Parts: sequence; structure tokens; C-alpha cells
Amino acid sequence: MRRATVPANALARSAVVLAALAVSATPLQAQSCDPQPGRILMRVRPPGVDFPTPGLAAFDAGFIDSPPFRVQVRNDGPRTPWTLCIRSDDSTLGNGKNISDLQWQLDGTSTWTSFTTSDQFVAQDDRNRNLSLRFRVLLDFAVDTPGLYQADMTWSATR
Amino acid sequence: MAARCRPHTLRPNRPALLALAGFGLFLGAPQAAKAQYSVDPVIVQFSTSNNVRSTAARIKNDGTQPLDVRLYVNDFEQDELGTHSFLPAGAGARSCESVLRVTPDAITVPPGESRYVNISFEPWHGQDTCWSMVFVETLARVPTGLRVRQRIGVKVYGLAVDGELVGEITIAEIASGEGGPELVFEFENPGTWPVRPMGSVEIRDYQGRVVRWIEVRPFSVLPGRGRRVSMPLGQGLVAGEYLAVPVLDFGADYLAGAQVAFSVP
Repeated sequence: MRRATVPANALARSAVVLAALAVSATPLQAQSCDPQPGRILMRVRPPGVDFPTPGLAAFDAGFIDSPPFRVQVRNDGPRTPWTLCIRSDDSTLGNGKNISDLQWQLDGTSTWTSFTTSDQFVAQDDRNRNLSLRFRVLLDFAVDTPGLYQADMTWSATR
Repeated sequence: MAARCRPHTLRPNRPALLALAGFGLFLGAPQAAKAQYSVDPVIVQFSTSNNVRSTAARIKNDGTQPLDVRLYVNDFEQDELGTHSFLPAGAGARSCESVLRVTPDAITVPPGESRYVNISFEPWHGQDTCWSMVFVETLARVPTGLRVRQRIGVKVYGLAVDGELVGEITIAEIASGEGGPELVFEFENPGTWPVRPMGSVEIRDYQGRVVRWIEVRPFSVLPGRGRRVSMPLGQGLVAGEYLAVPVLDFGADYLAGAQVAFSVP
């Protein structure tokens, strides 16, 4: 396949483009500066994530997984894409355990992403979507201490 | 935010782990509840005015429990791929924070019901468009190890005085994608108002016939910013020479267009 990069300024002078635009100039729905109707609906289930207390096998594996977590985003109104982001509101899980030891993965992908306190891109679409994710906590016998661990996370949906 | 926490426990101590092995070790209670709500509208634009202007946003609780939300202003930016980043109010280069108000700043919505909040703008005569985001954020409802907050953003624009809708496709190229050829183009908005281009990509053969038509769904471009859009052109094109012709309507009195030639071996 041939790869071509074409500056549009140059193209605008092209007779072919002018012909194409003339054919395509049937007015599409004009964009105005009026308020845009439509809504975003977001649903998460469950409303919190519990990890089982890790056993020997979990420490041997180096991590423990959460049960599935689901996020639904519905986009009513104009089909302008929505964007879903996630972040942690805490820099640690407590007891000195860095928040990067908490990871998330979208089902159907193979990538585990460590949490940060910055918003991270999760998905973008203009349709309704049901996303299924898993979380995991990385474990290390050498450094993890017995204790209570927790963090807050925030999901952001915008259009 | 709930004041009480019941976090999970990590016990990297082998004897302790063995001692616990006989128990059901889920520390969290079963969670059948769902947290579901919506906000409408999610884009609001205020134009120049000598008076305070306002609009109402509806928050609907589709869940089964009362929904406590707080409302606050952030700033945002959008990169060339459309991903948002969020900043504290006033930190954005074009923040509306000084003239944007949202009231109340906290509200409880009973299950199945809606409540309205007021988004208002002080008198506005800006020479540059400003933009911010009003977040409607739920409080963490379950005191477990990972506590979940949700927030839905309402984009708020204050439109510049005497603004105009300007835009163009500056680059268009064909790239090889996983599913066949992709048209990648960049749309620049050098104007002072935000735009939402939408339109189509036509694939034409060299006889001028349209062999495929692909919708370009609306995407937003902030003033002075650009967006890079990838459009899969699909598989199954017969071997030959083609033109991909994106044409976008962004509200101006002209269309933005380009064309790029490519071949299918």
C-alpha cells in the first residue's frame, strides 16, 4: 500500500478536490453554539471493590485479583464521543505500599496498567458501552507488611 | 465521603495465612447495589451578555439508593486524540473559573428521582473563549478496600466576543491499520470558538464513482487546538487506485476537505 501525506492547503487548489467538495456540499447539520442536548449516564457495579485476603498462593503468584468490575456508559443525544478516565485519589494503598501496585485491566486485553493519581484513559466511544475490568494488587513477601490497605478511585465520564 | 472504612487486609505472614486458610476470606460484604446516575446536558455554552446567564442541569438517580453528589469546577484540556486531562479550577490557561458558578455544591437525589442544579455565568465579554468543567461527583458509597467515586463532567464554554468558526484539515494521509487502510487526518481550529466537525469520508475510484461512504461522527476541537482522527476505510476494496475524500461540516459557511490518493494491491 502506498503511503501518502497530503497537506490540505495544497489540496484545496486541486481541481479534483473542488469537484469532490462541490458534490459533497449538501449542507450537513450545521454546528451551532447553542447548548448541546443530551446526557451521559454512568453506572458501576459493584459500587466498591473488595479483594479477598491473599493467601500463600497469591503471594507465590505475586498478585491477587479482584472480582469483575463493570462500568456502563450510555450516551444519549448527539453522537459525540464520550471519554472515560480513571485515577486513584491516593498515592499509596497505605503502609507504604505505592499506588502503582494497584493495577487495572480491561477484559479482552492483555495489558495491566498501574494506577496513578492522574487521570488515565480507559475508553472512548460514541455508543453505549458495557466495560468489564479487573483489578489486581501486586504482592511481595519481602516488602509487604501485615495491615489494612485501601484507596479511593474516581471514574470520570465526559463528552 | 463516608467517614468509616473497612479496608481489606494483606497478610504476608505465612503462619497467619495458614491460620486464616480455613475461613471464607472475603472481608467485604456482598455488594448487589448499583450506582447509576445521569447528567443532562453535558455541554453548555454561554455567549456574551451584560447579565448573569444560567442554565439548569438535571441529575437523575437511576439507582436504588439515595445518591449524594457534590458539584465543583475543574478546568480541562483535550489532546490531539481527544483525551481529556483535568486541572484544578483556575489552573487552565483559558479557565472560566472567575465567572462560573454552580449551585448548590452538594445535593441528595432520591432513588428514581431527578434534581436540578444551576450553572450560571457572570456577565461575560471575553476576548478569548474560556472553558471549564463542572463535575457532578458521587461520594464513595461502600467502605471497602477500593472505594469508587464516579463523576460526570459538564463542559462549560464562555464564547468570545465576535468569535468565528474557522477550521481546516491540515494533513491527510493513508496508513496501514490492522483492519486494512486507514485515513488519518488532522483538523485544526485556529478560530476563537470551539467547533464540532462531522461529516464523511468518500472513497472514490479514478472514474469519480463513490465506492464507499463512511460517516465521521462529531468530535470536538478547542480554539487554537487540533485533533488527529483515524478512520478505518474497511476491507474488501478491489485492487486499484482510489481517492479518500474527507469532508467536514463544522458550522462555518464553508466545508473543510482534503483528499489523498492510495492504492490497493
